[in-house]
Amino acid sequence: MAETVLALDELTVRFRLRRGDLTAVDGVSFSIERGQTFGLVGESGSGKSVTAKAIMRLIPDPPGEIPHGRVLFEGSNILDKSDTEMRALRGRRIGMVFQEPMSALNPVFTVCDQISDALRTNLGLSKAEARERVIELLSLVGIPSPQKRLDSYVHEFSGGMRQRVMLAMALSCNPSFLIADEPTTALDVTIQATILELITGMIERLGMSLLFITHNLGVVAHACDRVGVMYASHIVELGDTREIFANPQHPYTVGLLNSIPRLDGQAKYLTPIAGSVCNMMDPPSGCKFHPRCSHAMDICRREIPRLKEIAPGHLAACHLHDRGTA
Amino acid sequence: MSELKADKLVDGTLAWRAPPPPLVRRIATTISNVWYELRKSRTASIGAVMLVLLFGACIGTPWLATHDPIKQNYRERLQPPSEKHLLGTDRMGRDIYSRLLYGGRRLVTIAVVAVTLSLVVGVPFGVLTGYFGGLADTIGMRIVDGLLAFPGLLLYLLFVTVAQAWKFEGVMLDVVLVGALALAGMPEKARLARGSVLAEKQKEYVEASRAVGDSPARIALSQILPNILSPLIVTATVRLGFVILIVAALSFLGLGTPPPTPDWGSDLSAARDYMETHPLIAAFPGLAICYTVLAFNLFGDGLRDILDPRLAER
Amino acid sequence: MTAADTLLRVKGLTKHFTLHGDIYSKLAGEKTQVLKAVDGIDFHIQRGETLGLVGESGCGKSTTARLVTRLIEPTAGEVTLKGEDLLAFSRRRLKEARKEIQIVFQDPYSSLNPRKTIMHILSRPMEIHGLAHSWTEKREKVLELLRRVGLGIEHIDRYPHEFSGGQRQRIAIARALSVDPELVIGDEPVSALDVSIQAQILNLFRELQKEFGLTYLFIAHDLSVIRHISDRVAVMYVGKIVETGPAAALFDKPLHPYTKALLAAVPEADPTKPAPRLTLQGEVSTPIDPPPGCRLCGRCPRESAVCAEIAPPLVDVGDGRQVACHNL
Repeated sequence: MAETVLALDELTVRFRLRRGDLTAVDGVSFSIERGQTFGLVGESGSGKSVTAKAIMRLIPDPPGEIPHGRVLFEGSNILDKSDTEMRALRGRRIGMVFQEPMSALNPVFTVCDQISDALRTNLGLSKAEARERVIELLSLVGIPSPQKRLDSYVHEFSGGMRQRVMLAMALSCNPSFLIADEPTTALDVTIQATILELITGMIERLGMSLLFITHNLGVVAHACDRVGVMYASHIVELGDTREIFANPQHPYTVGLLNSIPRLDGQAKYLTPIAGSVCNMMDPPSGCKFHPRCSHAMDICRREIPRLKEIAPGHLAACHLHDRGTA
Repeated sequence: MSELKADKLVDGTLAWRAPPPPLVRRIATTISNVWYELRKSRTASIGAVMLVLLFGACIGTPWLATHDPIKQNYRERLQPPSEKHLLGTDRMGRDIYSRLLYGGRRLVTIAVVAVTLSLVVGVPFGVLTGYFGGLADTIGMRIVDGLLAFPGLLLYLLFVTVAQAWKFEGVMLDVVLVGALALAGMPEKARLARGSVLAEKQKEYVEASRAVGDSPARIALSQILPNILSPLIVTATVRLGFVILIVAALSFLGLGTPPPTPDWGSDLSAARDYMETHPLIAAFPGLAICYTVLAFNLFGDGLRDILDPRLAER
Repeated sequence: MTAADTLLRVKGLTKHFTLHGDIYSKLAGEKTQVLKAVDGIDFHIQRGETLGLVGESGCGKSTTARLVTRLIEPTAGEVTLKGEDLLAFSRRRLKEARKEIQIVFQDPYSSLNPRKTIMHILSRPMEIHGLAHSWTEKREKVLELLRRVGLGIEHIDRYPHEFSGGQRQRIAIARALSVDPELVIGDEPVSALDVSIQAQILNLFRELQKEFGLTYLFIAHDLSVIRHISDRVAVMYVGKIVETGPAAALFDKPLHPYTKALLAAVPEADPTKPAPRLTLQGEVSTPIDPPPGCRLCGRCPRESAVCAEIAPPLVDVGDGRQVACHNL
């Protein structure tokens, strides 16, 4: 078995708001092996971005808190680390790419300044060395004539180029692990294709691991080795990408796949999931999905289903599978 | 349609067809909603309580006052607070408590009328120029710029001096003052309204209104205006405190209604001569001015927190 | 297919925005730039069909929607609605025409006035066009609309912020239907929604089309959505239509290099399908002062000398398909 880079163990994130508590991530466990790409999919508000922030320890406290759970990065629990240790980890060992490069990059600094800043503080490079390295990085992420673009500001780049700059910044200190939070969502489909190709190629070449967060099932299908499907703060299904798409076991995953219009053939009517996502301030009892589930049983209203292995490496959290295994 | 009616009977939801509730009940609900919102900000609720007391005193002046505010009584000059004269008497033996009440009533009325007037004129002006843009906007904003270039104090002095030269007295003088204050406050409201409209008219609901064929004036005033009221209300409230200070300052300088009309500013001014021997005479009008300005400012600040939740979180 | 069946016809529709430089660049004698958002497009929509307009951001598809609804005035071109010249309409006739063309916007959060109740939002259009008079009549009609778009009647006196994105989009659709239009334009009406909600709204569009015999101009950047909802498709690239045709034929056998590139770039939710890739070079061309030739010039794998000189016209290639390319 390959080496595990990141393992989440029953991670729970709660926000104490004036109106009450909101559990954004509830008992989430998964692990990512070296060289692997793990996709976390879910609709807005499912808790996928909060999970990423928790791994980076970027949850503002207050109002956020992590009442229990562990985040094991290369064997040690990130949640126990001091702020200084954490700063050394961020950027240097774990890189991060965000959805909106415009808000993640500082508009008043040139691209070179921003990237070399991290290089100089983290790796102790001189100004000239850092500049050389930035040029190297920019050409690595496919920015044409990097020497010329080096001293440009972020707003002078197009959307796709900005995302490349972000990636260059995330890769600057040779991290072994990359978190990409909806990196292609704001991009057009043709640019998305190039960025996806770039990220997956980069992961392979540099032997990194990737946590890929997205709501786009198509992107997951092509970019990820393993997938976790999140719904209302829980992981409801977990497994190999091919297995999940070929043989989805949780009614939510099935519903999601049936909701997507296909490029080939034309189903006149889609079979969407009924209703809308539950209010996270006042979630339903038992399985969070039961109000929208066509298979809901009595037990679904009472008990939260736990993730169970239904095939080797394929887990689902649904009471429908209780009878099968019992 | 028949199908629909059947639906409704089954659900027992005929209420959705009932006419709107009577005005009294709507006002009652509004008040209770407003109080609920106010409780979110301590500043606002303190300000609100202070304002309710202030307005209560203004409205109830004829019943609350114990003496005629103008009647002089030389046998009871410069008395300390007592049971008969709650806050004592001034150099002419007039009851300070009663003078404060009548003076406050006049002052608050002037300020409220002036600010309301500046809103009534300035806001639609700003909303319409902002919405239509182009030439209307250019001309409108140059007018506003012209007014803004005039220092407020100079404008009041000019108005009051002219009014006094024309021998305006009593209420007429107050009306002139209100006019000057409204004119000076108008550009600020117009600019603020215009700025908000420029941002608001980019929203898709405005396009949707145009797409269904609503008239431009109606879109500007009925669709957009309600969405930009919050900052205007806040500014107007804070402005009220400021206007009260100005009016008091003007009469302190002798540019208000001449004595014996009760007036916080001129009373404070008159009390200066007795500061060393009878400091309370000056203290009471001063405290009254403080209280009023503070009430409006607290309420305005709290209101800003409530209406713009992003600021309150910080 | 007779002319009478054509509900909307657009010919040479053009919208150029002049970009004003600052005063210094004017003093320096620099030329003002022209952003050719929509640059002479032709299309028509038959009664009862759905025309899908697809393209990447900045290609001019939203501008087209606003031109067709006359929310903005075109620089040149013709728009005929049921044979009448929409651009020549008087103010009064335009108000009537507004009843026939309605639009559903992308962002359900900004397209509903936050200070108005659902009752007001849905009854105001009826008021403007005199479709309902008494309060009771309006109320009845609004309740009926809510039911049609799948919302409960208890929602009638609520404000938009009390609804989720999907519900808001239903309200926006109800508003469009409130005046009983013939043509409904959807300007990216599902792109702000989550996948499971998006499917609900797409189905709603379809049901309503069947029920009221509506005609749609459906604008989206998501190709699978376009494929799903459209009868015919028009592909736009930087202000021009590069290919049109029946949805099935166009998607199964794209002819224009840009259409091919778009389709190859879509990541399908099926790991066994080929991975998305880009078959063009470089990035989307700019609509600001574009060169005279084909807009795809410099990116196209099939480029020849003529491409840089002459913009290819949209020509018929049979089977109801049209393509704008020199090198088919």
